[in-house]
Amino acid sequence: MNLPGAFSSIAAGIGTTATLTISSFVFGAIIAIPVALARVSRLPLLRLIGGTYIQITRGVPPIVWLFVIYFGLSQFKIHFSSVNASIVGLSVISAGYIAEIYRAGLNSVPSGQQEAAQALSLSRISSFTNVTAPQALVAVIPLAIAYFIGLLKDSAVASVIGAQDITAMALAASKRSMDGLLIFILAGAVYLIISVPVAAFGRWAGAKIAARWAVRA
Amino acid sequence: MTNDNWTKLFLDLLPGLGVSLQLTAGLLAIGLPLGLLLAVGISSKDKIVRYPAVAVVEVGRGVPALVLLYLVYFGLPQTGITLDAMPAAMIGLGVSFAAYTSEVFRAGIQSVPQGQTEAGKALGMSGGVIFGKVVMPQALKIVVPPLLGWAVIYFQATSLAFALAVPELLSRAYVLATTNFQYLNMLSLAAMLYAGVAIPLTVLAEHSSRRDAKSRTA
Repeated sequence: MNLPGAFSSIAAGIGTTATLTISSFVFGAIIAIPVALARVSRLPLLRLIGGTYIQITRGVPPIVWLFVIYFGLSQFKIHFSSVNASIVGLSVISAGYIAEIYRAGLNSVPSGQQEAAQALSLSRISSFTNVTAPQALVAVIPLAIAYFIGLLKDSAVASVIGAQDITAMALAASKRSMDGLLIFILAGAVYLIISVPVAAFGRWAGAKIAARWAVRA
Repeated sequence: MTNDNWTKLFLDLLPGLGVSLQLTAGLLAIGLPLGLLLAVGISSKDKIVRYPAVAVVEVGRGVPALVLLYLVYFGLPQTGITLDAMPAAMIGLGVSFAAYTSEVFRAGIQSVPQGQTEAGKALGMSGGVIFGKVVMPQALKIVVPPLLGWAVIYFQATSLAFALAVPELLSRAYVLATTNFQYLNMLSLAAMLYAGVAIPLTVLAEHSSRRDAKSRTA
């Protein structure tokens, strides 16, 4: 198989990989908010629930999550397409990881900031949105971008339940052409190349936000 | 479903867990020495050593582990190296493990103060003796908890070997489910087995790294 031919067959999967990664990241980032708030709550029961969610999502391999959702739930007549099952599974998992990232961000804000906000008699909501959250964002952005790149690679497991992503396209092309070496090197290169601008954007956004919000000692 | 039935399903899955653990042992046997080697390579002043080591680390971390498995299993035969699914999975996962842990090893080695190496030299020790008897024992203490964490992550990653038809835990659960149609029960049980191994070890790794951090600052 020639190089342009191999590339065009793999490139057909880029859209699905992007859909899987971006949707799972966005849904995960939203679900992670209540999980992280439960995890840092003053109520022990909520802390336990948040902590358990995080442990379970991270303790079971992504591919097993996808199998449970795609094949397991069909026992209850709940049928997802392979792309939707993958988005549900990867969102559930990424929520666990992103919740920990939020928590790290919140922990990075010195407690004196909170106390100062109280001394200025800001309301709890105002002290969170105007004082704590913007500073937490400085720590969150680089971690979140690194996790996004990790999720991009994790999304490859969706190919095992039939999503037509980069990896699935490469597998199909390698079976057609018997040129697995070139095709999988190329597929690996495509993942690497996608992650380069994402990482660059992360560095740029991180620096931008740090310049705006970081606490200078 | 009765308790007896659950016990039977559980016992049916155990051989799969055995294969998953074998895969983990194999990938660690490849990945741990390779990770150390890569760490030494990255820290080398010699460009001929450093560049290839950096390239292996960047590729190993930037490419999905599943693609690495496919590359080893479906790509290498073209170069004349044909492997069975099991060793192919061990090699693919081992390289990926090494790429991630090289950073752990590098940090561990760097954490040993330069003065220790100089003291070794002053005592007339050879470079190999200094590395083996002075630097490594101290670095090991630091690298063990994070390495345990990575080993747990790669125990979970052995489920990717399903894609090469290795009869590991997930495959076993899936194949049994296609015969008894209890997809949810079989797959949830497999998920619980993964979590049952992974969660206690993760907690142990986090606990010991915290204790370690405390003892170092003391």
